[in-house]
Amino acid sequence: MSVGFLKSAEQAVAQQAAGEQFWLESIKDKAAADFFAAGLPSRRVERWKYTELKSIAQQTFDFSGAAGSVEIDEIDALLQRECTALLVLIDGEFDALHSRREDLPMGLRVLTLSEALKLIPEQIEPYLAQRFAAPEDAMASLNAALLRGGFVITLDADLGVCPTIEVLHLTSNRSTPMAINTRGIVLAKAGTRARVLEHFGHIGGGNLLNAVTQIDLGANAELQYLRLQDLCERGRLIARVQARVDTDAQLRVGMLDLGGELSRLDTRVELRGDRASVEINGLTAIKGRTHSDHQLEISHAARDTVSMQNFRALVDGRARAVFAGKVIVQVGADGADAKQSTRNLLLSAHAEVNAKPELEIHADEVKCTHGATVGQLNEGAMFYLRSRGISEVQAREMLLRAFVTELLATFDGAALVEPLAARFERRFF
Amino acid sequence: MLNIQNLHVRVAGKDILKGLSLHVKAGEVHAIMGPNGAGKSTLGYAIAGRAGYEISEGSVTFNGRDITTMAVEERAQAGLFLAFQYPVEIPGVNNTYFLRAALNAKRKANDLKPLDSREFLKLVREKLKVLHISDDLLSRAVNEGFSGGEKKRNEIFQMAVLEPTLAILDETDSGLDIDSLKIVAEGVNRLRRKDRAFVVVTHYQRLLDYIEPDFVHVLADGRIVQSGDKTLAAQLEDHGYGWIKERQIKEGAGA
Repeated sequence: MSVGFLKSAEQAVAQQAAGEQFWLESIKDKAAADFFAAGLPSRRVERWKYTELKSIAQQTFDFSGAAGSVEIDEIDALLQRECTALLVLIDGEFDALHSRREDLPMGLRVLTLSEALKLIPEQIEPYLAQRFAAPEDAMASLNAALLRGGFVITLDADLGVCPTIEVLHLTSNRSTPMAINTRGIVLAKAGTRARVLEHFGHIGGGNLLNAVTQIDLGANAELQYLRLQDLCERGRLIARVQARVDTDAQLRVGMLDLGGELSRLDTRVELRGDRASVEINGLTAIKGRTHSDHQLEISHAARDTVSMQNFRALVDGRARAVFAGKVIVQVGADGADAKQSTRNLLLSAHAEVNAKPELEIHADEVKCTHGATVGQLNEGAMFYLRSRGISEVQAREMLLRAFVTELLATFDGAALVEPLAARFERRFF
Repeated sequence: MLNIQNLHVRVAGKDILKGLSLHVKAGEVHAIMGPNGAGKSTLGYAIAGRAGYEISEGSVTFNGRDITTMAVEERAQAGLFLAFQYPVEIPGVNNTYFLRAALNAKRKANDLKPLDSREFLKLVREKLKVLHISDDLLSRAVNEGFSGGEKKRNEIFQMAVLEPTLAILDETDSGLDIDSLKIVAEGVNRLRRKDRAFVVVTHYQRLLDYIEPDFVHVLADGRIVQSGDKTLAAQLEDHGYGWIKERQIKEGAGA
């Protein structure tokens, strides 16, 4: 008999081994209290309006079982050859066999969460201690309450190079699906540069990965953060990216969401220093019964801050894509410049897109623009291609590929465009 | 080669072509002139098979085949080519890739083996040289950010590569300055052959100074109301389309 999500979470909290650092135990207790006070988010909560968690609520999950193994001939890392370090997490835990992090440049640390808890607890404590008390943030509270594993990347000042770090998340197949809570923390101190790719690969078997990633950029830091969500058909991911960008720092985000059963991402960015900027380019390409929900909130909290959101979605079959992008310009954030655009292509009569741009402005002299389109493939372009002898099927594929590669080309790092485009091909056609 | 009998075409519930007949033999160049709204572009789209251009009556055969039931791409593979009045910009699709896909689709349909990229590039370079087109066109996305002249030259270039048996040029002269017009016309003239026919649709006589037609037809209100040799174009230029209308009325009154 199924005991349901909440009951199995309760049992897991009760069974958590004591003996951890006192401060961490206290954080987990508070987070557990926050989570159980709120419960699983319901569709009555605005940010969860389009994502139904009922089927998850009724299921029993294993929150604390030992990490399993994933049989893989060749690890499916995207930046295998290129990256400075590769961290593979199976069921949230470090996989020494496939990970690689030797000869790191001075000033760069690539750690597992448990290593970081031992080596640099004072640096990560403020991030773990962040409270998510609002009902809409309950999954982030749960993440803290039942924290299992994860990664910590720190970049100290004067690194002098731009390293690339890939983190690959995998889950094992079990008879009872697992609910895995992982935490990623990326700390780029003032003046540093890096590229981080967080790659959600083999997430399947009915497992639920609840992943929170916190990113903090010091003054003048530059980070390119790439995310590939390429789950298995039965994979479920509920994730949150929480970023803070300080004075003159630049965060550039590229996201490719190829779906799974459920692919949900909350992205919150705070531009807290003058002239801080964030650019987010996102592409969702889904079919079948995938449900993909992207909720973004960008807060301009300082002067002359810049944000750009550029999202595209290709939705086929019975899939559904949600894009809700909110921009808040706080009091005093004069001179803010915010752009938001979303273009969506519906490829079947049963596909669905919900696109909602939102602006909230409390400052003067701001420039904000937004645009949203939902449509079908351009009939004129289809006719043009076919009038040259290209078949309907091939013309359609050409236009879809074009739609995708145009967006991928906005990602920095040309080396990534090809492997990402190849994944899209494999999944979509 | 092309036989159009009593063609009626409806677009968005409105009758645009109302009984048009046209016979084009191999090697001939036919000019179709007419005022705005006469149905000139509709004729090109209907022959090419664009959705929404419903043939309610009449027939169109091309080399003896009824093409009205064929898919757009099948008509192209059979040797039909439409040079667009407004070539479509397709961001993200490379011009060379597109053209090779088109040529190979046509070759495949005609039981020829596809060209690999080296063979294709060789062919393309030959065509470019003859047409005086710079090869930076090749590396760009299809028509994206092209000037008016570049777009039209790209149409002619595609025609040169695809080697159709019948090319319909839909107001290829519109929006062109005199230099571009000459280049485009020269491109067309170089492609004239005894086994290839052209239907040149235009509003002005100007283009026909450079592409000399064997026949000139005047299209008005969905029908061909007058046919003649190239001197008809000059007469039209002198008197305007109003002249045709007046003559029609007179003839109608006389009958």
